[in-house]
Amino acid sequence: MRIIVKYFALFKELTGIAQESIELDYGKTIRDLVGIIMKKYNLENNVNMTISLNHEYTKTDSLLNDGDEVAIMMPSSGG
Amino acid sequence: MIRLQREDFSVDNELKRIKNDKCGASVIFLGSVKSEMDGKKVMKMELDVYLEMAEKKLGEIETDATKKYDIIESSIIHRYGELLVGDNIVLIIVKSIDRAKSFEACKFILERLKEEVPIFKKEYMEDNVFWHGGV
Repeated sequence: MRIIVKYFALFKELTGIAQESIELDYGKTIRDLVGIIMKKYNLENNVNMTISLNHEYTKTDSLLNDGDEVAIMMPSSGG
Repeated sequence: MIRLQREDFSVDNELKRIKNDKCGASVIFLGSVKSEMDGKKVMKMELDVYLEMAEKKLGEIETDATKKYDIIESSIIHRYGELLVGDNIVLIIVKSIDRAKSFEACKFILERLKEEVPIFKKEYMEDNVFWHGGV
């Protein structure tokens, strides 16, 4: 299945891209996807990460489906 | 009404846009870029935003506030992009018949906006550059 991954703020800088598609086997979770991304871009564990799935904040054990949109971002700091 | 935009806004124009003579009071929160943080000089600020999700979240917040505080008219505008010291960042206007509820609603909207809307601040200080909440 194909997952659309968007990066914001610090993560856009660390990865050097704003968006990409990642191919995953069915049955994978957000945790699996994040593991792949961390390894691919050598991201360190000490960076605060907030994740959304299809425009809703999500937990790492959420199951992914084909065409899902996942955003890798930081805690909100607007206002 | 909600808007996310790069451009500046005029408080007067936004007040006129949601004018409603049933409401005797308008409560306004205007946030702007401050010149100092923790005693250090701020040079500028950059705001990144996840537009689709931010629009969705702002819409939910406005709907919840309208129901909870009997708001008659409201406007939430947040800017993104590069902002300089003194520039407007965010505007919240709340109009309802009950002024106490209007104050509460304005605070409710601001607190939820800060917590839930995916907008990210990068501060350019005189001796440092960093994303809020990054590490």
